[in-house]
Formats: sequence, structure tokens, C-alpha cells
Amino acid sequence: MKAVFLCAGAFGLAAAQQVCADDAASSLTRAADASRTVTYQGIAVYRGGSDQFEVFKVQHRFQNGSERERIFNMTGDPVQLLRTDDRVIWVLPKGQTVTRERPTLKGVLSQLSSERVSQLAAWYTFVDEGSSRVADRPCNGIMVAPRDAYRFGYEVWYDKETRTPLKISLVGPKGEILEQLMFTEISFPQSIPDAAFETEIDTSKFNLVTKSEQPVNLAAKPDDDSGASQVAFGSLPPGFQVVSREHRPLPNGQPGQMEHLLLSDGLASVSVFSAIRQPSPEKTFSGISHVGSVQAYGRMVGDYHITIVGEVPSPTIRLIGDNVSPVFAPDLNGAAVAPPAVRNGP
Amino acid sequence: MAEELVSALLDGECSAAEIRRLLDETATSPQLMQQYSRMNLVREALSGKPMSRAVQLDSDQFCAGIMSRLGEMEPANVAAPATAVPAQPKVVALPTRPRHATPQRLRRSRPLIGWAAAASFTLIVLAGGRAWYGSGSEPAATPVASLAANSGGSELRQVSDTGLNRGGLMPVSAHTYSSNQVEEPTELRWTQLDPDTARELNGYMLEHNNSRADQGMNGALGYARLAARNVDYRSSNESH
Repeated sequence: MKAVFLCAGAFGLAAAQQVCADDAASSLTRAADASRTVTYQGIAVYRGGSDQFEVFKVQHRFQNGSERERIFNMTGDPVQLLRTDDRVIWVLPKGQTVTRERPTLKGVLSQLSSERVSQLAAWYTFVDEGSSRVADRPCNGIMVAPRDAYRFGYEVWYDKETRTPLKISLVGPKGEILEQLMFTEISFPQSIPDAAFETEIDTSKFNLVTKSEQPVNLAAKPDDDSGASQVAFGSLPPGFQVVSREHRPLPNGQPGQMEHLLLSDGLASVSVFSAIRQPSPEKTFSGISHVGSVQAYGRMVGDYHITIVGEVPSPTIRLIGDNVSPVFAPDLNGAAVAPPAVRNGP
Repeated sequence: MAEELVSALLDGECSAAEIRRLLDETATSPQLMQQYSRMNLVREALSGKPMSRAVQLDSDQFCAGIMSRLGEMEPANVAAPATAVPAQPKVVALPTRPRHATPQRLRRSRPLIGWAAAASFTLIVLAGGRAWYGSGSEPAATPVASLAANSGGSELRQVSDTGLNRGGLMPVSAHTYSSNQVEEPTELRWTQLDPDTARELNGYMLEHNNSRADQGMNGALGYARLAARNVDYRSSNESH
């Protein structure tokens, strides 16, 4: 009888833990959704690494099924971001420039679907962190903890009343905060007038830079996007797969194109850029570096210069970078290398 | 001339008359005592002796040091009894050479050699500091040891840990100097990169953030990161 009670107790405990995890996961989904559908404005502080602080004023409105957002920094050289749904414009007074971005940005606090959260359970656990206070508002916290060392964790504190995420942290393996975005003031007005989403800066004499309007093609197939991929991977960290592929001009206005593969486990993501490059050791990034939580790894593989960038632990970047090889060249064993499988987007 | 005598004293090449003259001069010349202290430290460093702290010797200490040296010298060169003053453990024991073995022109150049040694030592510490303090791991000490060996020393010890890790000295990973792991990538600070390379890497980072902004909750951070770094990126990257 005692054993039965113990088993029942253990089962009950496990079930309770599962319920908590499910609750945390569903809370995370609702919080992500609230970040899109709630109207709010406030001051947010971004801390990236040990030496980078930025203070932003954020205004976000959801009205008639449409989002508008304006973000501008309150310190340093001014930068303004104006967004209407997925159309993003940067206003950069220092460079007298207005840029129109590709329609990929989804807001300062992007959304997670319930399907994606359930997929994440293979690589992360969701833990209820209890209650606290952020921006003078009562909040609940969720820890998204990695199950292995290939990814970082996240901590999300969301407003109890509106479920809007107010504090998001990228957490290292020792629990250290690698990066953080936190509201210090926030209000939830019924509406925000249109004028609030217009820049007060006279941009009539600014240069307009329009980037490619082609969106990230999450449903691309290996052979329907201007040819096969340039590179393939011998192996990838568990859970990571190619989710998009693009060809883009080289940065800094250099002639030529690069291929951009985006790898993700559903939460963390890593970009792999490859471009044919004449070896020029002093001008070619080769080695490992990082700025804040962003790791970068560069190396020459044959004629290709590979650059891997992502907010994942350094060994993950290394594993990806060390296993990348040109598709059109035989691998070390002389075998043909298959192009990377591209997964349909969520 | 007195500086030349200090150098000769440290080399064990002073006559009894020169030693007496040196003692007389130190009574009125604090600069001479500082000179002695400085040259003594440099010699300790280059010879691998445990480093003395940078002290200001007073006259008594200086005399004690000299008398200690005298105690280690050959009796023929000693005019005063060496036992009169206790030996100072910080004083370097240098091999004694017969006086006739030192050409006069070499002795004239002793002060210059002393300063050159000091300059070399400074270079060694600074050059070593770049590798030494960056990673805190043993492979980084390799270039320090090799520099020390090239400078005639068998071992170089840390003088002070203050100041060397400041003032713009950039830490470099142990990977840089790892000779048995040639495949290990070099770890570089973003700020150490060639400006064009850094701009290119910034561009890649922003492209990454722009593309993955809708990839999960991390997009929020990427969004902020994009805004935070956009000034540097855009201001120098608007040609396309």
C-alpha cells in the first residue's frame, strides 16, 4: 500500500510538473501574442554585453488588425525605426539616410506560435519562475532553459494583466545575463494617435536606401531559389536545421553575392554566409570573435569564405563552421556532399 | 661617471678605491641610489631572480647592498671587511670576472647597456602582457618565455599586475600562440579587427538579426540589437 502511495505521489508530482511546464509554455505563447496585439508605450533599456547600453522609447499600437510601431534611442547618435506591420523604415540622421528594409521584422517582441513552442520542448524546458515586478508592474516569469549546451536560455517576465513581455534576457550556461531588454516604464493606453508614429525629423533631403524587397523565403526548396546551395553541412548541432536560404549582395557595397543560410532550432538561430573570395588574409575575417552574446566564426573553405554568426555558445558556432563544406567540391573522403535540406517555415 | 661605477659594481668590476668613492657619492646623491635600485631590478628580471618590489633605497640600504656585493667579490678587490654589513637577499649574485677581462670601452658603455636592458625589459613585459593577461592560460606565456630567452634571461617573472591590463592592452587568446593546435581558430576581439573586416562582420551580424527577427522570442533581443548597432553599421555602409 505504501508503494502504491509512493508511486501515486511520484506520478502526481510528475504530472504536476508537466502541468506547470505546459502552463509555462502556454503562458509564453500568450505573452508572445500579447506583444503583437496589445497597445503600449514606454521606455526600454537594452543591455548587450558588458559595455553596451541603449535606452529606447517604444510606442506600439494594434488597431484594426494592423500594427504600427516607433522606436528611437534616447542616447548617442539618433536612430529611429518606423514600422507598419512588416514594412520597416530606419531614419538615420547621422548619415542623412532613410533605409527601407526587407519585410522581415516582426516587432520588438516577436511572437511564438503554440506549434513552435511545442516543438521547442525537445530542446528546452519551460519553468515557471513565479512573480516579480518590472516597470512597477506585477509580472510572472518563465525560464526557457536549454536541455543541452548547444544553446542559451531565455528568461521572460510578462505583465500579469496584459501578458505583454516586459523583460527578456538571454541567459548563459552559468545563469549569467548575456543580453537583456527590459521596460523601465510602460503604459497601456487605449490608443496612440497616428502622429506618434511619424518622425519629427525632416527627411526630405535624406538619401533613401531601399534594400531587397524579397522576403525571407521560408518555404524555399533547394532547387527553386536561384540554384542549389553553395555549401552543405556534415553535421549540425541537435535540433538545428536550415530554415531559409537567400542570395544577397555582399556587405559594404562589394561586388558579388553571398549566400545566406539561416539555421534555427525554433528559438536560437545561426546565420551562415558564404561567398567566393580571393584570399586576402588581412581583409578576411578568420577566427573566432564575439560582440556581446553574438558569436562569429570565419574561415576559408576552398574558394569560399564562410562566416557564421549567431547568439549561441561558441562550441555551437564552431561545430557548424567546422562541418561546412562547398557543395561542388568533394568532402574529405571524396564523397559527394548533398545540399542542405530546407525545412518549411513554421 | 658615478653611474658607470654603479654598473661596474654590479658587474663586480670595481676596485677598492672606486667602491670607496661610490660610497662617498651616494651620501649626497639620491639619484645615484635610485640608479642602483633600478639597474638592480633590471638585472634581477633578466637573470630570473625573484623580483624585488620597486623600492626607494635609502643610503643605508644602498651601502648595505654594496657591502653585500663586496662580500661576494674576490678578496683582492675588497678593501673593507665584508662581514661588517649583513647581506641583502635582494642583491643579485653575479659572476665575478677578473678586472683585466673588461675592456675600458666596455666599461664606458655600461650605463647605456643598463638603460638598454631596462628598455628591453619594458618591451618584454608589455609584449608579454598582451598575451599574458588576455587569457590567463599557460600557452599564452610561451612568447614571454621565448622573448626572455632571446634577451638572455632564463625565466621572466611578473613584476606587477597593476597597469599592464589597462591602457589599451588588448588580451589575445591562448589560441593565438597555441603551437600544437594549429587548427584552432584565432580568437579576436571585434575591436581588434581590421576596420573593413569589422564593418563586414557588423554587416553580417545585422543581416542575421534582420532575418531572424521573427525566429522566436529571441527576435526581441535581435530587434533591439539591430537598433543598438545600426548607427555604426549604417553610417559607414550606405554605398549599396
